[in-house]
Amino acid sequence: MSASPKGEGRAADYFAGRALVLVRRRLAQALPVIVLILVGNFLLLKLAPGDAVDAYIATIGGGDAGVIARLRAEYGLDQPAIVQLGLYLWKAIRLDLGQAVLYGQPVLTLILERLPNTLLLMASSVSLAFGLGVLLGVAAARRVGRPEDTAIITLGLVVYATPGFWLGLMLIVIFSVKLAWLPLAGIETLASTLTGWERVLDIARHLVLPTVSLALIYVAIYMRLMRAGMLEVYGLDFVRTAKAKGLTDDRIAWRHVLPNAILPMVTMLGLQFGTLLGGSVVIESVFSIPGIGRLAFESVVNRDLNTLLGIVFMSALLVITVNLIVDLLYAQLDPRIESA
Amino acid sequence: MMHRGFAERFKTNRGGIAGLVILGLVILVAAAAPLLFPGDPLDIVGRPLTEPFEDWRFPLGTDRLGRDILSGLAHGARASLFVGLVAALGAILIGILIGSVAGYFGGWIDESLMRLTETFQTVPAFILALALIAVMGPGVVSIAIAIALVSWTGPARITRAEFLTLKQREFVAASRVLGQGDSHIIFQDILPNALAPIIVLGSVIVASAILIESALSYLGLGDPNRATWGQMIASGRSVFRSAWYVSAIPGFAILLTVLAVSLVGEGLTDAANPRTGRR
Repeated sequence: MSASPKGEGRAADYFAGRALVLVRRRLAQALPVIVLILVGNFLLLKLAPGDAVDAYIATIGGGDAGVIARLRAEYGLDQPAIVQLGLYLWKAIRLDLGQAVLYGQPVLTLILERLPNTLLLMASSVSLAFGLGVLLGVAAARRVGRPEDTAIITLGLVVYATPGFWLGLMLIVIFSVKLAWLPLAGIETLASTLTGWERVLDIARHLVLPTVSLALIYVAIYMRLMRAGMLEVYGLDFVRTAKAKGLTDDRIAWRHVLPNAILPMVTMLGLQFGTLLGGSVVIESVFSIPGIGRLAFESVVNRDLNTLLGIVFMSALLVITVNLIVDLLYAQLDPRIESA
Repeated sequence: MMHRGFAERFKTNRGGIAGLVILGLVILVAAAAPLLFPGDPLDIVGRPLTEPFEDWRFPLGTDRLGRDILSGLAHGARASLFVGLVAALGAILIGILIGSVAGYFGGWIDESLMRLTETFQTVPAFILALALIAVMGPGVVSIAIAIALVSWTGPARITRAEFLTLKQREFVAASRVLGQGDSHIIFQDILPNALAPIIVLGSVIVASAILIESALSYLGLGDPNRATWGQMIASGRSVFRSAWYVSAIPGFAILLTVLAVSLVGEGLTDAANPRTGRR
């Protein structure tokens, strides 16, 4: 939105100003939430049996009391709880999440290394769920009360009741084992020398089944929201005007009703982001995708609470960021929305 | 409790009735599991990987260790329903407590409780549940507690919203004039009037709790000495090239149960909001 004619430039300034107010307000709201999450994390660390030093000593196969005491002092674990909390907060603010015992790497490095895979899976799932949800929702709303509508609603309920990880397994049985159309697991062919578009295609082929498994439940959710939103807008006066003008049903549905009904769905995208991230834990485990979901599962299995809490913290930051982006997008799309 | 004629309206909802019948059957099977299938469902009772309908002693076949799948299904229903109901009940109780206090008192109490609610909504529920289980140790009870602790924000927000409007009503003012204390007004006067939407939301929580439980026990975080549907699906993983039915069957059980709960929930929603009818 740079070099533009006069009027447009003013509009751009206006949007930038509003965006700034919005960002500032959201950050002020997010700050206490972030602090609460860190305090909660600290409480969980204290409640858990054993501390980071115990976990470390266990992995190296024991150590003498002197070494243990020195390590405790090094990590500040011999200090009073309130000092430890302060230390924990101070470290977290600098994104120092400690070491992942099992991998011998800083937790942050580990998370950032695996984040792209998770984000890729989530982006493709959201796109599929949103696209399919909108199409089905519009189709149902246009035939409200008729058999097609009932069929779509019933399908939605069945889809909502299907456990994603189980669906993933069944899809693997059909498409990878029986038909051998798609790869079984992983994010790309291991030790492959593919580059450029061939590699992109390879990753895309690996993403098909996990994407469908993760997206399905959200298809049901978006479909219902879209249908309800469409029906609400259909009841408004301007739609009657459009009908009276003699516009075709298609034009009314796609050009007049849809754009008004789709806006609230954008907010839902942000609100659902956290649950989607949670859902990727089990989907990544089913398909052996090295993302942060699978990392979370591995941390539980290996009793590496520190890494798990690092993921809790980072995923919360991610949720906050995504919601901020969605809010900005929303304010851009609908100028009536005040930056409240 | 709810509007007059609530039961009559629910009865006209075919989906709701179908859901109620299926759910009733699942509850019956769960209750009768020790009678129908005495003995531990984790015991090896037959030849491994007997296919469904092959041997009538095991109508749905056996898994890779030779455990009866049908018996596992019946006993697994107990874990699913237990976690679903206990977690939803816990979530609703926590939600009602936090939502009513926040909505009734307002001010800084409301402000801080809402920050707490936001915090729980910001952390992805499933990942937080993993962390809670990591601290409490695996098992059916920790799963139920963990799910309750990550599911209360919805009920809390609804309760708060109801309280914000209801506390302005005259009957509350009347009660206050009569000298009733805060706890009496909250729990005896306002809460009964706020319950309907909370109970409807309860069915959604039961459905999602059953799904979360199945995912957690699939990941091996349930009680290893108890048959659960998720754990049965996981046990079929290693043989799904040759015997995919071992994983498929318990999945259908989850699907059917969650579908039944959702249908009942739909029926309750429609019956509680007669004016909106079929949205």
